[in-house]
Amino acid sequence: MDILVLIPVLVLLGLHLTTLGPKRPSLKGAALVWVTGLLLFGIARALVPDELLFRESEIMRRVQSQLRHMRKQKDWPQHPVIILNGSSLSLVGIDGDALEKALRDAGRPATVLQFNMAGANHVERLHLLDVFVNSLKPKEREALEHTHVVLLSEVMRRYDEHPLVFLTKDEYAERARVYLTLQNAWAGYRFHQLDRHPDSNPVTPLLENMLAQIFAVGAFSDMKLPGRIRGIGGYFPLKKAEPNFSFSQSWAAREAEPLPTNTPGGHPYPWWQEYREELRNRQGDLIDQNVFYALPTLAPEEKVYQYTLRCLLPPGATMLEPDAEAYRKFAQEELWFDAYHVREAGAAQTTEWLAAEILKHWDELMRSNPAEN
Amino acid sequence: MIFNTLSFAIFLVITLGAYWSLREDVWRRRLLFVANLFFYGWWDWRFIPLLLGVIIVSYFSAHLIQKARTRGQSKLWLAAACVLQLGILGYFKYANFFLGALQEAVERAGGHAGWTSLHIILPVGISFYIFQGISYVASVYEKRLTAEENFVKLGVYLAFFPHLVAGPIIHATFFLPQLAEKRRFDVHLFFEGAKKFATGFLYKTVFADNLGAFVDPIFRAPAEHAPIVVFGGALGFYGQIYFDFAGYSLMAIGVANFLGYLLPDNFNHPYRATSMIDFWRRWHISLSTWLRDYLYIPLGGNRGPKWFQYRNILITMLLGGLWHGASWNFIWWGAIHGIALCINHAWRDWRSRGLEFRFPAPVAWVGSLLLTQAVVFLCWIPFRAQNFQDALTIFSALGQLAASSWALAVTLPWLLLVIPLLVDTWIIGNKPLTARFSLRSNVAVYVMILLAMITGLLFMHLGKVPFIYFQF
Repeated sequence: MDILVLIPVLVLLGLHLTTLGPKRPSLKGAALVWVTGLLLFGIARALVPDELLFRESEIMRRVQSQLRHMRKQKDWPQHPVIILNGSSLSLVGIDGDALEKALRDAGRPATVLQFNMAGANHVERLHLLDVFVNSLKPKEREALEHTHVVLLSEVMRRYDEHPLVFLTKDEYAERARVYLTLQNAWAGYRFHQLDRHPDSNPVTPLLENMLAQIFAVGAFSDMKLPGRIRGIGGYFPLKKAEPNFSFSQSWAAREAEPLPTNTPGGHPYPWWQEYREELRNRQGDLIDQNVFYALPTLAPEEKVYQYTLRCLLPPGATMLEPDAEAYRKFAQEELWFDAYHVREAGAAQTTEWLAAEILKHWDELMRSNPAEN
Repeated sequence: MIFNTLSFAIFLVITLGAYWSLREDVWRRRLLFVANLFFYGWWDWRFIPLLLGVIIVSYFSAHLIQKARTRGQSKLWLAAACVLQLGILGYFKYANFFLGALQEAVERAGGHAGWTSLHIILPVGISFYIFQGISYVASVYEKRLTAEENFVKLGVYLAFFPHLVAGPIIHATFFLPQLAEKRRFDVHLFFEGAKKFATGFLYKTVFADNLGAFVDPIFRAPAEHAPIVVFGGALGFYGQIYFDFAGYSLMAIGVANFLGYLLPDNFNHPYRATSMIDFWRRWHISLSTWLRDYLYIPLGGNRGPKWFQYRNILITMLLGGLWHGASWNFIWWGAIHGIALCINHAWRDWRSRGLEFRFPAPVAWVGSLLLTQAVVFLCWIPFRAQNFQDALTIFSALGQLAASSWALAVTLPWLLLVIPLLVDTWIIGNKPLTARFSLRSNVAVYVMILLAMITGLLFMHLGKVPFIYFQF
C-alpha cells in the first residue's frame, strides 16, 4: 500500500498552513535554517545504509536473491563459489541451478551465484559485487575469504561502450542513482578517459546521478513501507518468445566471413584492465581467480570482438569460449531468439557447454592467482 | 531545462546571483534577455532565430499599428501581425495535421493524394509566446498600451524564461508596466515565491510524475487492462494533469517572484468547480482569459441572440482544443467542453426565469459538483488517449466497470490517486479554513520550504517525465 504518500501530503499541508510572521523575513535567517537542515539531512543520509534505502532497486533485489540461494546450501563454504557476472545474454542463457547440478554430478560441487544484469556497465558490475560483499554477515564474509572464489566476467561488445552511455536512457536512471556513489562516479569518470570519443561529455550525467545517489533522490518514490526485499532471480529463460531475426542470414554471415585478425579502430574492451584493477583494489582478498567467458553468438561482430580480446589477453590467461565443435551444436534455429540471445532450449545447451568448459579448465580456475586477476 | 533538474537549479542560481548583483535596471533587463535566450536555446539552439523573429514581428507591428494614420490602417497592420504570427504557429504545429486530414479526405473520395508529411519539429513553447505576441499587438491596437520603444523590454516580456515554454500566458498589459517600474528586492515576494516554487515542486515531482508512471502503461495499451485498472488510470490522469500543470505554473510564478516580478495565478483549485463555467474560471486561467479577450469577445461574445452566443462559445472552445495539439482528440475535447458550456449557459438562463421547484442547497451543490467533475473526468480521456480508438476502448471499459471483477482493485495506488487531490481541493482550496489554522512564523516558513524540497527529492519519480503542457 502506498501509505508513504501521506508524508508529502502532510508537508504540503504544513507549507500552506504556515505564513510569514509580523517581523520582516530574513534571507540570512532562512539560509541558516536551510544550511542547518541540509547538514542534518546529510548526517541522517550518511547513517542510513544504501542497502536499506535502495532495498527495492534491481541491484539489491538481485543480491538478496543470490544470498538466499547461497544460504540455502549449508555446506557452501566447503566448495568453490563461482560468480557469474554477465549481461542479458547470461541472464537468459545460463541456468545456474542446472550448472550447479552438472558440476556436482561431475564430482566438482560448487555454488553458482548469478549476478547477470541487462545493460550493466563496468561500474555497475563493480558495485554489484560491493553490495554482495557488504550484505554478508561477518561470519559469512570470513567463510568466503577462506573459500575459493572464481569470478567469471562475460565478454560482450556492449560493455565496450563507455560506462556512462546508459545514463541517458530513462530505464537506467533508477539504476544509476543507486550505484553512482562517489567512489563509483570517480571510477566511471576515470574509465571514461579511455573513451575514443573525447567529445562526449560524462560530467553532467555523472554529477546529476551522483548527487541523486547522495541525496537519495527518489528513494521513496514507490511510497511503500519497507518490507522484505523481493528477490530477482539470476536466470530468466525465454520460454514463449518467438524468434526475432533471420537465422539463415546470420548463420550464413558467420559461415561466409572469415574472422579478421584485428578490429577496425582501436582495441576492444579498453576498460577491462582498469576494471580488473579496480576490482582487485576493492575485493582483492576475495576473488581468487578472475576469468573471462564468452557465450556462443550468431552475430559476426561479437565473434570478432571475442576473438580480438582473446588475442589481447596475456599468455596463459584463461578465457572460456566456444570452439568450432560447440558452434556446430548451436547451429539450430530453434535454439535462438535473436543473434545474441538463446531461447530456453538454447539455454539448456549453453549451460551444458559452460559446465563442460568449467570442468575442462577446473585446475586453472582453482588456482589462486590474485596477482593476475 | 525542466525546472526540477540540476541544470536548471544551476542556471537559476547563477541568473539570480548576477541579476540582483547588478544595480541598474537597464543591465538587469539585458541580462534577463540573454538568460531568456540561453534558456530557450538549451532546448534547441536552432529555434532561437524563431523566437527572435516573433519578437521582431511584434515590435515592428506594434509601431506600425501605433503610427497608422487611420483606424482602418491600424486594423490592417494588426491583421497582418496576427496572420503572420498565427501562420508561424500554424506551420509548425498544424501543417502535418491538415495535410494528413486532407490526404484522408481525398483518399476517401477515391482520389490519390501524392504528397507526404513534412519533417517539421515543433518548437517548444511556440503556442505560448505566439499568443503573447498577439496579446501585445492587440493591446497596442486597443490603445491599452503604447508600442514599446525598448526592444529588450519587449524581448524580456515575450521570452521571459519562467513561463516561456509552458505558460502562464501573460497579458502584455499585466507584465509590461512591471518592466517600466524600478525593481527592488522584495524579501516578502521572494519568500512567497519560494513557497509557490516548493508547492509546485511537490505537485510536479511527487504527485504528477508518480501518477504518470502508473497512468502511462494503461493509456499505452488500454485493451490489455481490466476495467477497474482502466478506471484507476483515468482517475490517475485526472489528478496527473492537474498536478503537472498547476505544479509547473506555480514553479514558474515562484521563479518570476524571485526576479521581483508578479505573474497571475493560473489555477484556482478547478476540481472545486460546480459548473463548467466555474471550471473554466479556475482551469488554465491565463488561456481561458486570452481566448475570452482575443477570440470570444471579438467574435461577438454574449451580445446578440442566444444561438449567436453559443456559436461563439463553440468556436472558441474548438479552437481552444486545437491549440492544445494537432489531433482530432483535442478537437473532440474542445467540442465537448464547448457543448457542456453551452448547456450550462442555457441552464442558467432557464433558471433565471424562475423555477417553481429548487433542490435544497446542499443537494444542489453536491449534484452540481459531481456532474461537473464527471464531465471533466470523462473529457480528460480523449485528451490523453493516444488515438480515438483508444479513447473508445477506455469508455467501453468504464461502461463495463460495474459488471466486471474488482479483484485487481487492491493493486491500485488508491492513496496516491485520491488523497493529494482531496487535500488540494478541499483543504488547501478552502481559503477561510487555511487562514483560520495558519501558523504565522517566519522560521516555520523557512523550515516548511526546506522540508518540501527535501520531500520532493526523496519522493520524486526518476526517469524523465516532461511537463505535459510542454508539447503545446
